[in-house]
Amino acid sequence: MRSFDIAVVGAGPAGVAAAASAARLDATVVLISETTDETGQLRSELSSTGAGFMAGAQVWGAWPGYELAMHTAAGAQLVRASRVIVATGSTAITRSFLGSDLPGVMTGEGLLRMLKVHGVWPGGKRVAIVGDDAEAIEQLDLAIDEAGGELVALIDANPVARSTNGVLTAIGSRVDGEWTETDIAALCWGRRPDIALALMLECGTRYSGSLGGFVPVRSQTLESTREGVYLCGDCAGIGSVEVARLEGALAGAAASESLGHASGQQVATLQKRLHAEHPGRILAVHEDEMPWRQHAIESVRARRGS
Amino acid sequence: MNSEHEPVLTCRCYEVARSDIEAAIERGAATVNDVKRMTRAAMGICQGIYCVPEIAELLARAGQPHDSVAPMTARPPARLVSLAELESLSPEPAP
Repeated sequence: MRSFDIAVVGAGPAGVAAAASAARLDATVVLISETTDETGQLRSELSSTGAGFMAGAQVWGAWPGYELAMHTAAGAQLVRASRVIVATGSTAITRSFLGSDLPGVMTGEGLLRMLKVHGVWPGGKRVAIVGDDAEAIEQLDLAIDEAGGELVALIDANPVARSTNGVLTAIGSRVDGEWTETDIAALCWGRRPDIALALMLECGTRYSGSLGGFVPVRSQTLESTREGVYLCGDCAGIGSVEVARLEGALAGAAASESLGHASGQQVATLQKRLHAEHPGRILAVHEDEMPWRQHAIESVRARRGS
Repeated sequence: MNSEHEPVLTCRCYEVARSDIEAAIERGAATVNDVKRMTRAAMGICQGIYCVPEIAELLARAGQPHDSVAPMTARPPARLVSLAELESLSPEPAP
């Protein structure tokens, strides 16, 4: 079994920043990535830092100590680490509604992946986009265009309001009383923190509407209620790429420092920055109004002339 | 089109309808773990990624404070793993 000072799970912006920051402070680090996307780019980004990198490794188990079990193309592998930095990101929000188990009803993320990564259409090409996640909607709208599909309806159905009939109408794609036939209903309801690994490590959680649901409780240095387990980025609350990078750098430095690698003022400085620039990441905040969401949805509609 | 009488499947892995979950709450389930034990929701291959937040929401709507319903207990494996792969990690060869 290979041993490291620090194992970072997840190679998004938070995980990469955490691995780089920890490795620069001379900790032995491995960054574990579930996918093989952007492997080359990540490898070169990390090569100057000394962090190790495992691509295509799905962590499926974690035990105190810490031991991580993962599935790789070469079979099961175990890694032991004194510290674990969880940077598992987020998953698409789904809801059940009448007909949600029908073929063609899928997350926008799933459809985007089929179109962009695999280059296939799941059946027909007439799509209704349902949801209020402006960024995802814009991205999917472009991808549908590029792949020769047709956006037949854009339905701003908020899952929280979630009147079953309302969403059923959306799936049948009835807009303003008119039914439109669709092949695909793509749900773009935003993302929620992926806390599966944090839960497996028995990290304490609380509920926060503004951070996207159940999130791990964290100290000012991003340590969970489990000593030696740090959490950064979207898995600790849905946020921007900037906040993910900043939290990654902080978690990496703090984990390194806890192992006796002096960080100078780094931990204190990053902590102050996080607190000043992104208040509410650790303590509860009030719900944001998020007016930009509505704005972007309207801009897609205007472009589509509907 | 869909009929109002078709079930809304909240846990697709075990085909647990939302009405089954609401019935469990009616019968006294106060946490996600309670609902899981009473209905098998969240015990399938996705390990509750999709239905747990929704179960928590149904509990919250029934009056349980969000923080007390708690996400369910999580145990390995979090991804599909073959038995052969599990066995390969065993320190002793199987008898």
